[in-house]
Amino acid sequence: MSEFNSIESCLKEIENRYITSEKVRRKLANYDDPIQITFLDTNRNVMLLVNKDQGIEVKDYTSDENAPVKIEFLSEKIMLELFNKELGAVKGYSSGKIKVIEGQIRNLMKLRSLMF
Amino acid sequence: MENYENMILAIDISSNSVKIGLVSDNLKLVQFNSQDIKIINEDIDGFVKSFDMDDLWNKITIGVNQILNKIKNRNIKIMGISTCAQRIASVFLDGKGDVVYGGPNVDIRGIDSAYLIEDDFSEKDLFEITGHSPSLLFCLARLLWFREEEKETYAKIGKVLMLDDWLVYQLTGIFVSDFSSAAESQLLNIKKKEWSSEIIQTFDFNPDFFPEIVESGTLVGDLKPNLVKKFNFNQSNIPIVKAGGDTQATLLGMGAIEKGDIGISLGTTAPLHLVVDKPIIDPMNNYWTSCHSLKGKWLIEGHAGNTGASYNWFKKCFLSNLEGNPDILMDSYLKMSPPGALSTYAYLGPENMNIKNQTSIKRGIFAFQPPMMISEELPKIEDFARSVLENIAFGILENYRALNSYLDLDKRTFCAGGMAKSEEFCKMLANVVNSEITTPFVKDSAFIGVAMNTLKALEVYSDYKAMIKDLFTYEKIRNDPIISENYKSIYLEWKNLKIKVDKL
Repeated sequence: MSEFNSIESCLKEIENRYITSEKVRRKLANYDDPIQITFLDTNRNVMLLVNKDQGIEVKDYTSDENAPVKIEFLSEKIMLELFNKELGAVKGYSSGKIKVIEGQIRNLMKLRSLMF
Repeated sequence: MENYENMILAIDISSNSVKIGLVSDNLKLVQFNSQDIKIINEDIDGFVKSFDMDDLWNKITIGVNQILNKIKNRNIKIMGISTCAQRIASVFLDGKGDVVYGGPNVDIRGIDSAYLIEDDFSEKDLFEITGHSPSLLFCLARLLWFREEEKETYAKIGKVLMLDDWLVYQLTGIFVSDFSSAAESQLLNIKKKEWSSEIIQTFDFNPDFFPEIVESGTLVGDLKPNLVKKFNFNQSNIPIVKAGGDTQATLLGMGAIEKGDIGISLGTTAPLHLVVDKPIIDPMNNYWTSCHSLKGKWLIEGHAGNTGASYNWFKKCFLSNLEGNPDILMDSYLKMSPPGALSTYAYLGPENMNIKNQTSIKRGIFAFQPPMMISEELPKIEDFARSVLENIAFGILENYRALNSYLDLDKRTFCAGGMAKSEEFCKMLANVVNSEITTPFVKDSAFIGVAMNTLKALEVYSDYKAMIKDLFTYEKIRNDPIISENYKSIYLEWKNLKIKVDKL
């Protein structure tokens, strides 16, 4: 049975990774750009607000058109597959299932520990 | 007096294969073989990759033995052995010289450690020192990855080598690097041509990790006695010569050695290099600065991406069920389809180098006239074939233009590598870049470059220029000004559509 069966459980995992892993917080010690995740099949938006190593806030059904980092998933299923390790991040990127709409590569590298 | 044929044994670990060649002392490729490399995926995400180093060494020994077996009845003297290898690939050894890590140029484990670099260096500052970006690709980030993710492995590291350095170590037991290899590590101060003390001190690396650096074309030692026996050589004291990066060897082997020369290496990918006589750093931190195989020469690099890979993909997908040699078929298709391929455009990846800003992998697209009732000229297989090759040529053109802007002088353009074997493609490339292109008789020019390093090290020739003058045979491919003019507008059509396609 898959460990992650809803977007909510994936978002909870993102929070958990931040809270429980010192290494993840260290990676994000200088990071505070808001991240918008969009699921194209449901038009659902999620905002990840990382405040350096001081805390993280995950806001479901929230968007910010000015977010400096925007990531699109073709569908919610893709995020479940990613978190359940049924889909690799590189394969997700190269097949167009995950797309970075905006953001610098330096920031995206830091986010890998949180999301991929 | 006994008459020997003097030969050089050349070993090239390219992006996809291990190639062994036998080159005569007048730079003719006499024999060669090739075996695929095994690359291991270490994580489901596809970021962490490594070589099977035992398999790699095994293939090298098999390849060498095959070559030597083929010539065993000839009276041949091996003047020396020299090697080159894919750039960026690196190997870490423990205190005993055993491999603890060997990673190819596609290992991007550094994605998880690059943040450690940016805590201490801005992208601009690091680029000013090393001429390379983004960090996730290079040896520096790989070292930090092991320190962060696999502490026990990191603690074992005694030497940090580039892949060609490892090959030389295997053959001689000597730790040595060369500037063309070290320049692709993001640990070399590209201006001073020395390991960057600033980087080494900042990250508290053991300075003993890093071997002495020599110029390419330096005699570094003899083949180890146990390998003389293993390879069944009937001679001892076989000199080993340091060459370095495969691309630099390819440039040497095509004759791109003078300031203002532009060399296009048509392999799995297509790096383009402008030869310069001082280290010029791109103010936009995009085009890389590296060291050439020649003392006093640097290179500015633009990279057109997966050119040969796109060509091979098309052949495999669309031509493998057809009768005939796919390369010959592709050439015949180019003759059948006009420039622009009836407005058929391919977008398979080749484009202007922009690695540091690349955040998404673009979709592969063919745009073409669909089979509607009003269509008059529907594209055929030859038009799709031409569109693929035009995409490759346009990707090269974009980098070619960027490199051309660096020096205000007449430039000579060279090309070599697998795709340079296609006369029709070379003609098309000359027309697209609107310039005469010079291509050497032997297109597998990495072997030739490696052999040239050997002739230099053994003092058969005192300099590369004289070697090229005496031993090279060239073909000059002239562009047709009318077709070149036509290609200017075809390229613009392709580019305008690309801007839209890239948004998909």
